[in-house]
Amino acid sequence: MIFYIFYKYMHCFLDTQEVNRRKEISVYLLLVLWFTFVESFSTSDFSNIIMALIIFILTWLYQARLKKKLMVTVFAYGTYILCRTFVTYTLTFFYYDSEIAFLVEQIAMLASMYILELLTEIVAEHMKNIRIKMAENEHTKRQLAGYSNQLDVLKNSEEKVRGLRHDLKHHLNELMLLAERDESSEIKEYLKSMDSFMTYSREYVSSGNTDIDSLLNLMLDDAKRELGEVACKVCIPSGLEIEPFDFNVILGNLLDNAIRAAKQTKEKYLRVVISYKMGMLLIHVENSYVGALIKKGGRYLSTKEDSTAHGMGLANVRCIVEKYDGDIETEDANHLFQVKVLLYVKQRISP
Amino acid sequence: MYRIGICDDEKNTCMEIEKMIQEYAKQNMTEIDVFVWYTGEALCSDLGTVCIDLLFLDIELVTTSGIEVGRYIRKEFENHEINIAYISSKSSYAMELFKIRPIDFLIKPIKYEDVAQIIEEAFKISRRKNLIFEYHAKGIYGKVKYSDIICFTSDNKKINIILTGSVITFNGRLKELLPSLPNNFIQIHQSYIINLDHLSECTYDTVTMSGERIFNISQPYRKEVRRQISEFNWSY
Repeated sequence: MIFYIFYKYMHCFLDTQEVNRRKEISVYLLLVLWFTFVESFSTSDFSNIIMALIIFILTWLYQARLKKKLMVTVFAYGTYILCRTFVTYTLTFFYYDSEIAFLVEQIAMLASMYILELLTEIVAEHMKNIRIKMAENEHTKRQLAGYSNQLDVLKNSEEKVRGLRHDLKHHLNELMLLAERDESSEIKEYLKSMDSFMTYSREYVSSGNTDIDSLLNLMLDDAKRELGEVACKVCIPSGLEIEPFDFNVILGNLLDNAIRAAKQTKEKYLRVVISYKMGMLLIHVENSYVGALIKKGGRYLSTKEDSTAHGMGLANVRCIVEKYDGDIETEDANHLFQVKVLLYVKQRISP
Repeated sequence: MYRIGICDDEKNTCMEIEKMIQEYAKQNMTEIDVFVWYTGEALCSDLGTVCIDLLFLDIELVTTSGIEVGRYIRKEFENHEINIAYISSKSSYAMELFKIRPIDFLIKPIKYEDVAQIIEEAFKISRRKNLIFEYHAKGIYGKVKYSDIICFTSDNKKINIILTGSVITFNGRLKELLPSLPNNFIQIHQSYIINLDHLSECTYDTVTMSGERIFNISQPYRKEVRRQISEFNWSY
């Protein structure tokens, strides 16, 4: 029973996804067997130390950092001791018969530990919800910024076109004069300046997907300010059945990472290609980077300053990719980091 | 001899692309024939007599749009061989376009590097398509172009070659056949091997091949199929 409670503790605090279930269960069973046949419970100091050790060993079944493992051990052991002393202390007032007292003590002890464990679980769940809400908030904010940027972009490019149309007569006149004089180089020059006047420099992508366009335009604008030249090619149909939130998480995180890494390099290279082929949405982000990437358990740890957000971004991306039965691949060679994402996305059937 | 077609109602664009193609041919010391059409109708009526490998097709043709021309080529003419590269002056595309399975999109103003890249890619595909598959059935040795094979299916100790219009059966096992096939053939099921060049749509657990044939990807193959399909597409 006590081990079941410890098992719940472990699942509450540690990442239990990549655990060999068979190994896990056999370890717990072994412990239970050992305790029923070899060791019996006693309150001596020695067995308390053994208990602490066991909890600590149990944490090694799971993947986590040493600090976290120690914390879990201390916490689980702390509640164990707390319950133990509390129960023993209260019970000494009521019972004197040692046999019954021992049994009641055990039961009360387990019950109180179980209740404490349930409480912590509830608290942990609540915390998780709060964290998810915060992440959602963050993305809504980004989306909003994207939309307002897109609005700006559209307004500006619209104004430019309107301005050009207003002056069209004048421009045509000018061109006609130049043509009459056979000055082809001047005509070219004039047309070039008209073209550059018309294209609004902050509009990089116009694929017809408002959500995708607004996010990409915002992020690429940032990228261009930080990096200079940014290569970008987006060939996707306008009706894709993908949640804007999901697309936001994927592209936002990938581009964030790529821009941050490329900024530190001399080349400042970033390339984004998004295409759609045979029911698959393919996203390819490529950037230059300096320094070594730290890899742990097949995942990249970020080189970001604040370590609380360590690898959070890519983990979120992975989560969304799984939702679309997709695949994500990373590759680094010759100071070039590449992320390739594949999502199965259906076409939205237009009404 | 490689044949490339251009169809655009703007004569200047046609001239520009033609110049780039000739430039590419000169740099790579190959000979390329270029055919130019200014309307979709002219192109469609010539398709029966002129065989082209790669077509640069304008989306915004005045009378018949590029989408309709593409659909005609794939559906009416049942030609899945021609690689179509769409030309457009804007970068938003209708869903319809993607059903025609274009090799790529060109956005005006057209750059030489993009044209060269598309030709390169088309070369790669046509090299792959012209390979010949040889089989042995009922004492006769037969040959068939890999590009005509949609998929291989097996039942018992027989293998069926599903072609666009017919089926050929010979003795053999898929397991022994697979290693000898080019890498655009992948196994998706104990008894199916498909040709990725004939793939028209896919999800995690199904593939739709040309001719609207739908196959299930069996459970143990799904992850591997996804990896292979994505690798195949990334090599573009």
